[in-house]
Amino acid sequence: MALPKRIIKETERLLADPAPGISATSHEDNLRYFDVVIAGPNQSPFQGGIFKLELFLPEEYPMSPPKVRFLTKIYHPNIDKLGRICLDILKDKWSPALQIRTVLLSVQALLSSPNPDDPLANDVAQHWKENENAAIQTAQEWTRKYATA
Amino acid sequence: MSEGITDPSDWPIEFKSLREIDSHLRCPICKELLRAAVVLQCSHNFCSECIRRHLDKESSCPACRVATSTSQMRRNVALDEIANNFGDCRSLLLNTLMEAVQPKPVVRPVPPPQFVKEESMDIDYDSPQQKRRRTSTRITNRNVSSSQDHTDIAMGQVTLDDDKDDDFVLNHRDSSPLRHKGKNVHRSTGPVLRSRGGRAEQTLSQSSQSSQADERHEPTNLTKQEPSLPTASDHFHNSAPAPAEVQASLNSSTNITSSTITTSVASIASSPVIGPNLVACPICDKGIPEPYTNTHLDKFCLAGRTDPDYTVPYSLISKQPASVIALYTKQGTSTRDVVPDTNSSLTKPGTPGRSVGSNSSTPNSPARQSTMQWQPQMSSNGTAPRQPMFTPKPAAPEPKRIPKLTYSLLNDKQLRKKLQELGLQTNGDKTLMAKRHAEFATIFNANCDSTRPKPLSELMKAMQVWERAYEKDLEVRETQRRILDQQQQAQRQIHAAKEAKRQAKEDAAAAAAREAAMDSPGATPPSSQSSNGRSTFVPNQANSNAVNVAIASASAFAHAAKYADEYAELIAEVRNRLQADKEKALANTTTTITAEPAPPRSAPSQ
Repeated sequence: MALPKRIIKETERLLADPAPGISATSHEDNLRYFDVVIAGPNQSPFQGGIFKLELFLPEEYPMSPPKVRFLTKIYHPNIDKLGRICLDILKDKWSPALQIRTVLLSVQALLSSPNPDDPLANDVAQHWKENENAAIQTAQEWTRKYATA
Repeated sequence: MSEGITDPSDWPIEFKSLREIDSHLRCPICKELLRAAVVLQCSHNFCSECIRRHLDKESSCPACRVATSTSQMRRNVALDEIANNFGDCRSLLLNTLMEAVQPKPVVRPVPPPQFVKEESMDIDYDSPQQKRRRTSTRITNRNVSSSQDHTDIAMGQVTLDDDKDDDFVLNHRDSSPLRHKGKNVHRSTGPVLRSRGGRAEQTLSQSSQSSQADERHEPTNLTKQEPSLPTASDHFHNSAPAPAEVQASLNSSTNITSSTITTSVASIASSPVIGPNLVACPICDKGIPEPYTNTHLDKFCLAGRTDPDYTVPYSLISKQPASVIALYTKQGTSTRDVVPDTNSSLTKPGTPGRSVGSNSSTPNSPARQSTMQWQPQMSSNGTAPRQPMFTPKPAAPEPKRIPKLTYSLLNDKQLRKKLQELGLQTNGDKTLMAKRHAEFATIFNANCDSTRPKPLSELMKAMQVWERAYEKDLEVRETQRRILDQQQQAQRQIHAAKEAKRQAKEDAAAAAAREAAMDSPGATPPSSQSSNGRSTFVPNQANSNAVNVAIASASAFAHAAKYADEYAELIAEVRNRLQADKEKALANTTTTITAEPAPPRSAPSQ
């Protein structure tokens, strides 16, 4: 299948005009596969961290959502230990009007505001609910440990 | 941006508005300029094809998630035209702009000639003034006092003639119905209506684009006009609706204009039947006599040319009082042979010769497609054949869409029939047929929404491309499946070989233990534990082999087979030795061996 124009356009726009704190570059051998780096947002436990993600655009994109996964270990109630992300727009709330940029911005926003009420990593969410400060501290430790180059 | 890839960011940053316009003319789904724009109830616009594909999966607006469905979407004709035309001039405009920006940054972007609408107020107190201009022509707004007469009008005509603007002038006096004079010049589209009493002047240079809006008002006009419409027999000496004065004025005006229209007369002299019952051409929207429709369509509209004889939009004519129309007709025919209007008015202009979608370059082809449905309506109105029919052009009836099917409720035969009806391929299994039908329905229905529909042949070409892509996709899937199968098979064989080898080792170990036991009858035989421990090495090795083999999937089978062969040989060898050992042991000893050698396993089946 030829690469849809839309994907080429998005790739070029991501390179030419990247969103602050986000970079995404596609693999040369597979233009549907992106290496993503998201900087931990300020005023979040992940501040100072550099988080690597992978993003894959399935054949049906934009009719079906991109697949996004954290490669860097992260202590977050909505991200499990395999790096899978619990984000509605990556699942049932996907809309073809969304794009790579908006998805990554949403992931960045998720780092700023963890939502322990809709957990993916139950133990982390429990921790977050019971003792938020301690959880945040752990998150900061993890960020220092795993997300700093 | 690379070739063929356009984006709002192409526009220089100084022209933020152009970026905005560009982005608003894009489909949020495909990010291309809107093609066959449709609007949802939530007022979000999309390409027809994109939103149809989306609504196949989900019933909500991609932009705001409000629940919606295909039945709720409507064509957005104006937006579609804007997007089309913007797309047409985009690269030119961008280049011009870029060139202009280089030397001096402040340049006003001038789009290519478009239609400019102007509204101006006149001194007249009772007649609304409306003036539309084409930028390419110049029509002066004149007030003709009552003292000025035909001469002035004639002068005005000359001016218009000089401007190469083809229009006809209707003089309308408040007290008396009308005076008329007109002319026909090629390229002209607009009539000039002028109140001779110095009251009002209405200049309408109407393009076919703008005519649609006017048509909405037609029905009311129509009802007023119909009773006074002249019949075919008396349309030249029409005295019932128009007073004698009109005739007089008509004659004089005809005289005056005769000189100005000679050029056009030459070209129209051979033109056919003219009757008073003008109808709107379904394609160019000009008022044409009904019996002449076929000729008009075949010779001009479908050939992409402008009919020099009939250049006035029907919507304008139909708004005029009946006598004006009669005059217009008269004007059109003044120098021609008048063919009596016979029953030919009953002949339907929709002939089979006009095949649907045969001429893709004509921009108005949806209208053309719809003529079939439209014409019968027209003739049904004309109960009295001679009665001029001012059927308002209905909002172009939408071409028939392909209805959605519930594929699970159809059997293969029914589905095949459906495809056959659409002229599609009927090969493949039900899944393929259903997919094919769905794909064609999507692109066909989307094409129906376009203001620039593609001909059916192009859709068929698109379907062929789709078929190839589907086949290729299927092939890729098939290959993937085969590779996966091979890998699994190879792994199974390796596993079997591994098992066989392990067995062989165990046997060998057991045999060795037996031998040892025989050599020193008091010693304990080696535990099975140790033999197992020794043999674990082999599966590991085999495992890594298996991984390698799995990766080189194509050669995996052969690889595995080779290994299996080797193992089989090994096993056979071991077995033979074991057999020999056994025989020896049986022959030699009183059996004190506790660990019976396991019966040799059969070689793995190939």
